[in-house]
Amino acid sequence: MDLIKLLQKLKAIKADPDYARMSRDQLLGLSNERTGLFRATWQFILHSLQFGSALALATILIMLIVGGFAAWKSVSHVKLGSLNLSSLQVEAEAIDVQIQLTNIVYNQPEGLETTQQTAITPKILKAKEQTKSMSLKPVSSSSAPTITIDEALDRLSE
Amino acid sequence: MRHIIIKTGLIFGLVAVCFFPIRIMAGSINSPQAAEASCNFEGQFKELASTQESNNFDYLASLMAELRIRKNLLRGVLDCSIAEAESLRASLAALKPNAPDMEFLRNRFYERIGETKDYYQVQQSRINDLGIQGTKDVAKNIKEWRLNQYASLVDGSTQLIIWTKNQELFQAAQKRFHDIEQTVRFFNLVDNTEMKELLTKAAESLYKAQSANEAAKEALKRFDASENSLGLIKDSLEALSETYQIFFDLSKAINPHP
Repeated sequence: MDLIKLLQKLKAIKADPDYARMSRDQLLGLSNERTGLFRATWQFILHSLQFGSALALATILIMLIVGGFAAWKSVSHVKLGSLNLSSLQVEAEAIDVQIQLTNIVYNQPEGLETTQQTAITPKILKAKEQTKSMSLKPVSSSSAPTITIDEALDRLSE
Repeated sequence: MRHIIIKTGLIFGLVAVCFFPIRIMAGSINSPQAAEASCNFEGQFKELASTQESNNFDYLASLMAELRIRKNLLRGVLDCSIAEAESLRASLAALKPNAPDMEFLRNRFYERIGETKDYYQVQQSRINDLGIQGTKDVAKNIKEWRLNQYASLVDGSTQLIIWTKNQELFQAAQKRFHDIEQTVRFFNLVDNTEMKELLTKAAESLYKAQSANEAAKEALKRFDASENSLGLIKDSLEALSETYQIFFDLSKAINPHP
């Protein structure tokens, strides 16, 4: 009697619906497809997260560097090169060249004499070239013609 | 995690290359070479002298020869004068004044020197019709015109060129002083009596130089291309030179054994 009752109970037993679906999918070959799609979706999300993290880290790094330079500039009050003798010397020599140039113009008695010594090229042009090269050589007059424009005009008017 | 590190490195590298491009500075020196005409009149004057001294019995031929030489000389002198003006104009054109008022002054000199070329060309056009006395008169007139009109333009232009060039020196000196002052203050050397005195002297000297420089600018703007503006330019440079001497003293005081 008990056995009969037990067998009747067994008739009522059913498989778990999820297990049944999984088993059916496995039997029909659908399981790989579903798992692949799931894995691809998961990997896409994971890669997106990785890329986003990398971008964020790179941005932070760049901001730190750029911000660091700016901060260094604003914080640093020490210009260690400001007392460098060689750079001071270069600037001082440039001033000396300009003084020489001004003296050349200044020591000429009349305004017209500015053009007399070099006839064509005013001295300023030669001296400017000298200033560019930071040379302290005196202005050369070797190429200057022996008779200048005003001398020539003087002699022509006689 | 390893992927993240690699990707971070790649992205950082890419962005860094975009942010800090290597700029190749192709420096070009602008040096306009003014065309130099042949301005050696020595030979022609010798020829003129020998013609005048020769005992040529053909008086008319001798006069004609002298006239020809004189005319050629006058043409040559005027060609040279035009080249001279062009050369000065080229220098002015290459000038880059740092203030609008000085740019205006530069343009004014540039235009007026351009007008001198017109004057020379008018004189050239008259040469063919001249006799011997005419060549003498024209030469005398041109000489006087150059003395009364052209010389002041040359002086003014020259001083403007010098002054403009000086501005780079003044800017460098100002920056130099600022940097030195900050360095001295940073190291708390400002309490040192010697440093304090040197720094004060440098400031006074620089101020003196800048004041003279500003006064020279005003004199130039008044078109006062006399010794006044040139003297001020000279004073400003000498004061600037003294300032640098003090900078040297400061440098030696801070670092006696460089």
